[in-house]
Amino acid sequence: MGEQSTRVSWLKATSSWFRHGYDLLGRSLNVLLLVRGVLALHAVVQNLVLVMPQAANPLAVALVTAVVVGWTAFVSWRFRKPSGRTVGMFLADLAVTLAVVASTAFVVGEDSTTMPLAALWMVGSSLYVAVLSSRRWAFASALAVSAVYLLAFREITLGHVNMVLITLISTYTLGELMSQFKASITEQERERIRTVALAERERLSRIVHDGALQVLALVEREGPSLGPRGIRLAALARESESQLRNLLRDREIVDDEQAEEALVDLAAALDKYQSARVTVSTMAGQVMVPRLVVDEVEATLLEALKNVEKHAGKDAEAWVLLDQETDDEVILWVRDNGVGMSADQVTDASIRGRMGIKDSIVGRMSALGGSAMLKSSPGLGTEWELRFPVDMGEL
Amino acid sequence: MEGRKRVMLVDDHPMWIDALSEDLTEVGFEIVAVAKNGTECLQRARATKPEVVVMDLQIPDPDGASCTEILLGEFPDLHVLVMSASGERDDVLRAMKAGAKGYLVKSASKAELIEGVQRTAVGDAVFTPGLAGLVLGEFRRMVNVARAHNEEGPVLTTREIDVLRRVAKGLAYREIAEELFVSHRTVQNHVQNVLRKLQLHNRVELTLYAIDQGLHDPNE
Repeated sequence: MGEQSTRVSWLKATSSWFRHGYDLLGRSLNVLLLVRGVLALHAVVQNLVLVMPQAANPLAVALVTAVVVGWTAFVSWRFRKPSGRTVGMFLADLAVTLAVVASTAFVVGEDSTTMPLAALWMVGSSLYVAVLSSRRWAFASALAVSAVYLLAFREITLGHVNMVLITLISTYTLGELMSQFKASITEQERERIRTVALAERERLSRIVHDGALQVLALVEREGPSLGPRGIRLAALARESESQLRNLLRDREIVDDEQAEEALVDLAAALDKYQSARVTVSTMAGQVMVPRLVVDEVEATLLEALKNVEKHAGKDAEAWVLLDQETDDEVILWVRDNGVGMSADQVTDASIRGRMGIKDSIVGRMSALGGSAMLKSSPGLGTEWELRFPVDMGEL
Repeated sequence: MEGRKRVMLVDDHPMWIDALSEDLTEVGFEIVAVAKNGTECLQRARATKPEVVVMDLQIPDPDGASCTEILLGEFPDLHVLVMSASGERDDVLRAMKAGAKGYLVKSASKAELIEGVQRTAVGDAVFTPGLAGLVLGEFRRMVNVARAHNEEGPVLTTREIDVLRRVAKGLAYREIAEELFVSHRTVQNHVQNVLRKLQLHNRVELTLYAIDQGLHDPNE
């Protein structure tokens, strides 16, 4: 991966199929050049040996045949480099193919029922699109060629239908196979990036763990005995210690799927709220929940923690506990040991919408189909009990 | 107290060993051995037979959790207090299941640490909120695994769950005792029971695992 960031490599993985190591494109392109060359040769032989002697305009046949050869050489040369693979070039290729196919009726004359000028060569442009661009465009191009081909003849024979079928089937098959290859190479590349990134992270965490974390913990421990400055140092050390620890714990390399219904680990998501004043307790295992739900729960937790900071008092600490009673419901407690509230204050707050209780906490939980309960008394802190379903059956 | 409790410290950071041994000597413990890796830990524990081991989880091989397993296998009466700086959950659980008495994070205050070692020394369980949360989750996992094998699994009583959740929510034993109208000792007993169940079921689970892997001899 070199100096690229993991995220960049991750995005670039979709194009790794033509990169050096895999070179799927290079190899396919070589095959393709050979195939189109052979098809062109076939067209040349057929035109010169079979078509020309009975054609209405033999010179035109020779001319069209020269175009087939010349164009094949030119377009294959252009397509060797990525810069040559422009939309215009693909369209030009298609246009020339269509022109050659359509010219049959004018050049060969009445007798053109069995011998198309382009012969099988007409599949070529669609095959190029299938490999170098997308399977949809390739199929569209194959359809266009087929349509013009069928229109070029006054009466349609079984041979013509067979040609059309061959064109469509080969383009479809090649396009489909190529996109399968691309997808699996992208997946493979991403798996590799993920493994490399995780290994690197593990290596870094070992280093940080053995060094910085130990020193910070020691400063935290010894600081307070050194007087006010020491206490301040200890507090700073505590902050950066929990920051570092959260960084090390974060296993999410890249946002795999941004989709809202993608499952993410709720426990890991909540762990990052651990700080000097907030203790987060979760289980060792994962609680896989749709991203949408995790986002809402995080927002709720954030609101609750903000309230602790604003109203619980300077020295208040908070504890977050994630637990379950049944597999389809999660319970999240957010407790602080601050100044607390009286029953009147709680009612007042929820009616007046102060402290975000009504919308940000209760509202969010009911939207998730859950509930939020506030317990508090003066001097004894406050405690939220948030329950919400995580039954992922339908979501 | 009859005589001074004999303590061994295991940590690969000399500065931690120094700080810890100073603090613990001050309050009356005797440091009989120190070790900076797993091999030393096992050798010296066998040679000096300490009563209490303060074990850092992240030490060079074998790691702290493995050392805890080995030592408690050899000396079931040993009291192990596990410490770690980053709280690798699986390692913490492994050490607790092997029979460690408690777990503290390294950023715990000096007072918490001394109290932790003192309580470990008399055989009490030392739980942090984080550990309580881990253990709650672990019981649920173990019950699910056991159910999949049509077994009962280790069930916590409602009271035990009440106590553990309160520990995880940061309440001190004293506060828990007040809330539940029981004595401090009762709270302590509940926590102890939970730990015992955890260790007991660990053996059951190892057997289940052995059956799964086809390693178990039914005639045994």
